[in-house]
Amino acid sequence: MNTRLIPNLLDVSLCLVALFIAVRSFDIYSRFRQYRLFILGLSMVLLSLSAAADFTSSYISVVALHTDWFLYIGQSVGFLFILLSLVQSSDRYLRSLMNVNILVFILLLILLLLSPALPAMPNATRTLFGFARLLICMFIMCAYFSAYMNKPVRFSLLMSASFFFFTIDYLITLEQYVVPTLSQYLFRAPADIIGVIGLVMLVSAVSIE
Amino acid sequence: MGDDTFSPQNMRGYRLTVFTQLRHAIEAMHHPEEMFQWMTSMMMQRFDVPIVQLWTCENGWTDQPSAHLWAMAAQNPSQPLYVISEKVATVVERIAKGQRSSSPLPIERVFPAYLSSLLKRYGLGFCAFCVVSKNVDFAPEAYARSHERTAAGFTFVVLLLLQQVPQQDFTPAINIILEQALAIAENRHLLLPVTAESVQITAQQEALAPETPPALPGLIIRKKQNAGLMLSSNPFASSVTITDKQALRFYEAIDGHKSVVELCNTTGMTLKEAQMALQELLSLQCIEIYTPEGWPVDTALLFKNR
Repeated sequence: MNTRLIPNLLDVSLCLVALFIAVRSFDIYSRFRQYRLFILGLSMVLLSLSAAADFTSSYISVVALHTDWFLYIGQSVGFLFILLSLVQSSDRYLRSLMNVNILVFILLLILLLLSPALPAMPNATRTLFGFARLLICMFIMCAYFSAYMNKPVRFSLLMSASFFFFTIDYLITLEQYVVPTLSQYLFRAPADIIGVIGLVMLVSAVSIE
Repeated sequence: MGDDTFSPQNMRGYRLTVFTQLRHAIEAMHHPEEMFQWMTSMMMQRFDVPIVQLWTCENGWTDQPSAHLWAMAAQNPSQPLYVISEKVATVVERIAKGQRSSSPLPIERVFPAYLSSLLKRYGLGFCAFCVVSKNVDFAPEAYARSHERTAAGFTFVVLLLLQQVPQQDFTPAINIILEQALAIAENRHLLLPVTAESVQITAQQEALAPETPPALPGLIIRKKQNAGLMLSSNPFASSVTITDKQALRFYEAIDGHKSVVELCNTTGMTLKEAQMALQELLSLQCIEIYTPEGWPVDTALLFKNR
């Protein structure tokens, strides 16, 4: 069995789902000027690009594309901006956050373009950003769960479930770095499957009216 | 001064109370000075300000002094009321020319040294002021101009002498009260519109319907950020649905910077139509209204009884 099948499936799914959400977010933002939607859109573009870069790097062997930098930092930053956009809803705060998001997005694009020139990502750095991503996802899950407790609606329940699965995915992914190399495959597949479940929940959350 | 006098909740509460009471009180008023006196007394009581003064300066004149004290309220009769008033006129002229409201400043930064030390002796260590310029006029029997040429409106200055620094919401709250009180006064004809030959009135302003709030054309409209969006509501399913076509057209033209008049020019709508669209959008809670200085306008009061 192709060992890249499930990770590739996750990458492609994440790329398409994130792109779908990004396009819808920008479309609605253009009409209603809700800054939170712009931030969501840009964060989703970041997630989509990170998945696409990870997928591409596994097939290109001519040059070593160290896209893990962009994958880990990009996903952490993408989730972080989603979390920050949920913290406050004042016009000034969201507008400032949107401007910072644009600036950070440009910097991350530069990081992506520099992928061939970057060194391989050390395990310690990978663990650090993996842990940050895990924490941020956990906070988003808590934010949605708290919103659900305050106002029980299906959207916040599905969103908290989705981020719960992402958190588990990233937790298992993080654990693989502390086990022997041979056992890593035992962790990777379940993590990816849980990631796909998280994506299904995310699509359900934004699709069910 | 109570510890929580200037808390944001109290500020908003006081502001609403002052308005509600002014709406009732103004029915019995026939001269602008009655309203000004009522306003200064109310500000003094509600906001616990030792001395409140309301001045006007004629616009468009930089060489001639025109500061006129309309009303004053003081908590302590022993404070140097009219002595201050006479000497403050020069400072008010300067404030009016600056056309900017200010949060509380140490008294010596506003007044000359001798006056500052006099005020400090009475415990008045800080001064805040609110400035609103308006294209209005007074009835000839109420106010004699300092010159004969045509007018370009007045600058209204509320001067507040304070014992301590209040919270930062204090000056914006007073400013909103002043702006909206002037709008009410204009609506009640205590203040008169400036005659057509004295100022350039735009076609949109000319089309101002009698029931349109006078302050409306200059106000800035912003799209409201939905606090529950993406948290407790699906952003793709529950976005605002504006069924009224004119309201939707008006909403789409809002960029957060344009005033009502500018939005009317962009959409080709009259002020009356814009007002209807605004009321529709307000009922859907998808817009917010701000003064040109960036302070939120209490829309419930703006469109009340209309």
